[in-house]
Amino acid sequence: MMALLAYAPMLDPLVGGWDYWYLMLLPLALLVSVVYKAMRVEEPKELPRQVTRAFLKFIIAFLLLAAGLWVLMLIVERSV
Amino acid sequence: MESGESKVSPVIVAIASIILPGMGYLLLGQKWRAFFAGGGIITLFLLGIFFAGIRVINLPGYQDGYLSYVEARRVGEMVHLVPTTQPIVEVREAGRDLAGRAQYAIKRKVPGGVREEITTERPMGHRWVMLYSPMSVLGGNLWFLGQILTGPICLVAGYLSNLAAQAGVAKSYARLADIGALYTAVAGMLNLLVIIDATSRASGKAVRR
Repeated sequence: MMALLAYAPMLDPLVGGWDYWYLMLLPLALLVSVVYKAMRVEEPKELPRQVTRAFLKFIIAFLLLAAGLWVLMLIVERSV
Repeated sequence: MESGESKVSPVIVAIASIILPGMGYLLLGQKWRAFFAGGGIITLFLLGIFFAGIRVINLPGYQDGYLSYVEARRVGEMVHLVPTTQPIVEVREAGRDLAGRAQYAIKRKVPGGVREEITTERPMGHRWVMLYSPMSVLGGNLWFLGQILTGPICLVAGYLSNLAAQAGVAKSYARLADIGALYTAVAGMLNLLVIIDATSRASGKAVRR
């Protein structure tokens, strides 16, 4: 509670953000998709669909990467 | 003006894009592209600061908000190199100590004034770390190479970071610091792509997709 009262946004690190760091990948993926697709598409009306697709691809890639690393760790654990 | 030759010089577009993310597109009349590309980059940069605090931006050559120097001192036959944020402004001889060693009275510049000290280590001079060893300073602060690509907003954030450090605001560490550094550096690298894209559109060389 005291940490929350002393918290100054933008000056101090986000209170409570420590435990939910993985959720911070979501805005990162969304904003990278927005900027990248804003460069690529030629018509503004295409942007929402293209951004949604790129964002979902990011998330699926993150999940596949996490699953792949998990399997790799299981293999390493069994081999030692 | 979505395709073909632009009336604005690519050099002007590149400079505008460096000054403010997305401003190059604005000069080309592509307002929606400027809004989403520039706005996205600035939002990413500000979110990085929101997550990790302003001190996630570390200007190279500064330590805790003050200019960092390397100071050379002679101790017997040895020369010691010592990091300091308090540069020497005046040195004078101050007699000898009980062991017969020469003493020196040194005046150092400190926040809000001058501090005097007596030492037997003869000061030989000091240099700003960025002039003494720029590559090692940058090597210890690699995220900055990505962050600076956002342009002057990174320098403004760095200046505010120095003020916060001088006021005693603590740095973030571990995960939050990594996430904040990642956001701000990715914003800079995306801005590099935006600069290249806006410049090639200005020269009429935009890749058809």
